[in-house]
Amino acid sequence: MSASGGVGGYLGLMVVMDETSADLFSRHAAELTRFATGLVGPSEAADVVADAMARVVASRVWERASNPRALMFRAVLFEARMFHRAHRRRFSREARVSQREAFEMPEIEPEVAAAVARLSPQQRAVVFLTYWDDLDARTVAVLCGVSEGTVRKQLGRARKKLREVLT
Amino acid sequence: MNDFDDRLRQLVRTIGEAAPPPPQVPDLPPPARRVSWRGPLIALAAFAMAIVVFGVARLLFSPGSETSGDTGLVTVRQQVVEITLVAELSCDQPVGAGTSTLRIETWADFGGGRFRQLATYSDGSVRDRIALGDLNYPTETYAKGQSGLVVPACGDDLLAGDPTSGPNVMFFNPPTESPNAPGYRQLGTIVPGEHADSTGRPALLYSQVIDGSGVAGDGTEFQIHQVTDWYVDEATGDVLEKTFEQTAAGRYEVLQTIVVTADEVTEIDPATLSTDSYQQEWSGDDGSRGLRIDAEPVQPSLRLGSSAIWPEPLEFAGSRVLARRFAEEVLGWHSAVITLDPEAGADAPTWVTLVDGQGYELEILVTPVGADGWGIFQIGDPTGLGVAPLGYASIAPEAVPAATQATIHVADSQGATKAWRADVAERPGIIVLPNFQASSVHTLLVTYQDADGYTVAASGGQFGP
Repeated sequence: MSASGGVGGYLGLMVVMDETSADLFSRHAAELTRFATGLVGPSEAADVVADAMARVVASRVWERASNPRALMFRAVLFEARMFHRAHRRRFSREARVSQREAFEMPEIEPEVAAAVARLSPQQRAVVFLTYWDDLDARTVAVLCGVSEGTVRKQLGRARKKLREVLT
Repeated sequence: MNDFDDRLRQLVRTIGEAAPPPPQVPDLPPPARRVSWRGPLIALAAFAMAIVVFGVARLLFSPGSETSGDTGLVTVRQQVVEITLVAELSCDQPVGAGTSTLRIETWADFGGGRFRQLATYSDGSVRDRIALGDLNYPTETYAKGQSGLVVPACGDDLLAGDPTSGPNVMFFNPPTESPNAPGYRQLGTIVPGEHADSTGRPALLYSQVIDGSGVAGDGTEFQIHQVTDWYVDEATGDVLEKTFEQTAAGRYEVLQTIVVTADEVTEIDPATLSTDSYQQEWSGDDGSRGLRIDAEPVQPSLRLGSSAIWPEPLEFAGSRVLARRFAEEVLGWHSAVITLDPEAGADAPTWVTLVDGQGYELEILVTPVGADGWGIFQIGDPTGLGVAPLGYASIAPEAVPAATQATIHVADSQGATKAWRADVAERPGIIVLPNFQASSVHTLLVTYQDADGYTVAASGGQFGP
């Protein structure tokens, strides 16, 4: 999978998203992109969302999804994980160091950005959904496809990591 | 609400407000794109099939060794592997720090079912083992000597593996690196550019990087970085060299290198594979010597998958949820303890161990399939699928002591699930599925029940198109 190629990387046969899927995407594109920004940073967010949508709409679960919004959020989270994995691999091979990739945002102090970079994609997801939209653990669990217990556990771990740089 | 929450909220707001404009409504590829995800898994299944079909065919037709009529020599595949283990340990309770080397010479007589592994350790000790039957599923093993390898560890945590431990003879490349362990085709990603192994042989480089964390005895969490590299002969697909590097800053750094220095077909004196002067280490019964058990058709109790063994459709909630569902819905293990391979990445194929309340244990391989969700691609050891007379599918059942019957579910290439039941009590043999062609088997699941109908074991895999 291309980590940053976006849909432009897919050559050959293409079909256009059907109207229902396109409407759904348009309705949620902004919040999905914001969510992706919380996961991978602003420079890669649009590509992650585009890749996620291409992947989820092509899947067999899409047409019978009872909660397509949640499915799209999960797809973005899944794609972000793939992005992190590919990014770490490339980074490791090229630099031969074991630190995680930076979360590059000039608006954020370097030590805070470093702390965010140390969070797992799932931890970033629960932090973002909890603090951006004030969602409760149950709703976050539905959007991330995990249990409420996992949301609370990951949120607790993330808060612990971030507390050191935010207090 | 406190200052920390306020600052965290502000941080999230800063990040969210930096979001770029949403992408345009994307075009999407046709469903065929999913094939690119399933490809490696199909390769895994095909690999497993190659092994088990080989094994069953050998049992059914029992070919002899290839010998030269003039000389009486046996044709074998001979392999030499050099292993280096370097461990820098700064943890509490370090074990096995320093450098160890190990040389393994293997002679494999696939036709005659004899395999010898001679391991020479850096301390001068020698371990010599001969396996009979199948390389992966030997029916007998013989050995002499002792292993001289000290596996590096921090306390009870082993940091590398001993390739000479366990009942199997190590033969490094397909058909038998290990039937249960996905290799570079499944786990690695090819690294662009020109590469060579440590001996200078041109090679394709596949790499897998895993970043995870561990917890020390005092509860401290620490980061673990693992890199596995495979240097692969482009022409043959054989692994020339494999390295495994595991690092935890301030605790340990371990590098294991396995280099195949010789791999050729040659002829040897049959005495090289004689078990005379060896101690029998293990003797098992492959349970299939010439006895045919015709399975009875029954109503299927579950539906097998099309892209995975199970479920259909795939599970979106993740590997743990999928494993729980499998334990409860397929095995009937309602209080199973589920343990995920801690080394597996969150989005990577993961071996999951299920242990029920009575101590029965089963490993399953759960794997993400793009955005479709998670599926199970291997259950237990690879199932022995073979071909009986008239082309009927046959299965070499596992020797499960408590089992009195086996229930076989098969999904054919059209996606339909059929089921059979076979009595395996006191009657080890080959299970035959009457009127069902082996070539029609797409997905196979065999569960074993005790006299109370409780499932005590299972195996399954994917085979044909």
